[in-house]
Amino acid sequence: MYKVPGRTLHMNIPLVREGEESDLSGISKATREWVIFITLGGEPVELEVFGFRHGSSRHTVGFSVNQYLAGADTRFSDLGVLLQLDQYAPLFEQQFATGGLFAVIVIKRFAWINGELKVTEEHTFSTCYIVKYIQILDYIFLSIRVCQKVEKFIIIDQDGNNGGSVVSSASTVTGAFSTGT
Amino acid sequence: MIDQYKGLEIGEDGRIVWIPLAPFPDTGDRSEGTFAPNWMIYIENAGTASKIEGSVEDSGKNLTEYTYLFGWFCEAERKVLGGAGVNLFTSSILWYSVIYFVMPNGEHSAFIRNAVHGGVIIPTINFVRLSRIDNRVVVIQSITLSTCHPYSYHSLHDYTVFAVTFIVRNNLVYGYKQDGTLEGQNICNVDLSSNVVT
Repeated sequence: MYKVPGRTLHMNIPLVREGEESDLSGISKATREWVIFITLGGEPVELEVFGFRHGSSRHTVGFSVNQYLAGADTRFSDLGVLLQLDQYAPLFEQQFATGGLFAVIVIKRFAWINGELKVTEEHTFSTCYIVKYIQILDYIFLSIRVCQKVEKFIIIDQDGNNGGSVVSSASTVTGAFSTGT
Repeated sequence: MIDQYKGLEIGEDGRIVWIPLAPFPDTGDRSEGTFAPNWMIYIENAGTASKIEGSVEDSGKNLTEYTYLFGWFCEAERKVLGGAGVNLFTSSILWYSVIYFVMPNGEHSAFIRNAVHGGVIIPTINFVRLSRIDNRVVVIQSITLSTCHPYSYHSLHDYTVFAVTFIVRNNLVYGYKQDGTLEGQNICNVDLSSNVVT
């Protein structure tokens, strides 16, 4: 877990390769696990994700002996993404500074399963704005406001075959939430 | 990984500012052994200097005009109202924090103190991230700050922590392929006086 420094933000972000002794201990590019698919400068770009987190919350009053008082204000947390510094960093800063919209951001999780590189999770965020940009030496941290998300979990059986998938869809634009397979 | 960065905490304005320090191989402890720099900083008129060889194409200066930069921190933020069910409410305010630099004491130390005390405007600060590729020392990232107003300094034994605000920030990052050849570069220029980003 890495605590992102900042004046207004102290987000704890889980790191993908947490627990490794050193980032100097080998090359990971060929076996990257989490990848962000995003459009920068009009071009589709795939970048390794070193840590990310997002979530949702709802407000509920805790006096359970009285009437049920739950808020309708389902809230998406900002999507926190940790990337390595590379030549795309200025393009992220430009998008941040100009209030640029990302129509779609996809983060996928890959796994080696029985000789094949398979996608096991797919998180799709739409209508997104970068609201915070921090460079931490060789890394950049982005805090991204998202309006809609579709999260797909692909089920892999023990024999390595696909066992279907489950999907959660949510929109703070329409207030519609659903699950599916 | 990023969680191996050591940090320097300084108290300022009733809060703690955490500045990540550049790591070193093996021990990560800069009090052991000797080392060449990973980051270097040039502060105009301050007399920053070193014996490090090499040049910075972006600033047109030699690294002999730069000194070691052990760590730095800056954050940037925009306000967007989170009520997604109605029209988009976003602010034109683009906020960049004070930027903190951790550097050794040296010829520049007296200038920095005087700059803070007297509100001396620093026309240019340039700091670079260096890399060794195929027996060459190259610049990976070059950030140039223009019209900088000194904000604070902290004296920490052999180190000086210097903080400034800035009007223009130019962020240049070079991309290198795995074979060491230059792939390209991208630049973001933010001018907070005219509110223009290019």
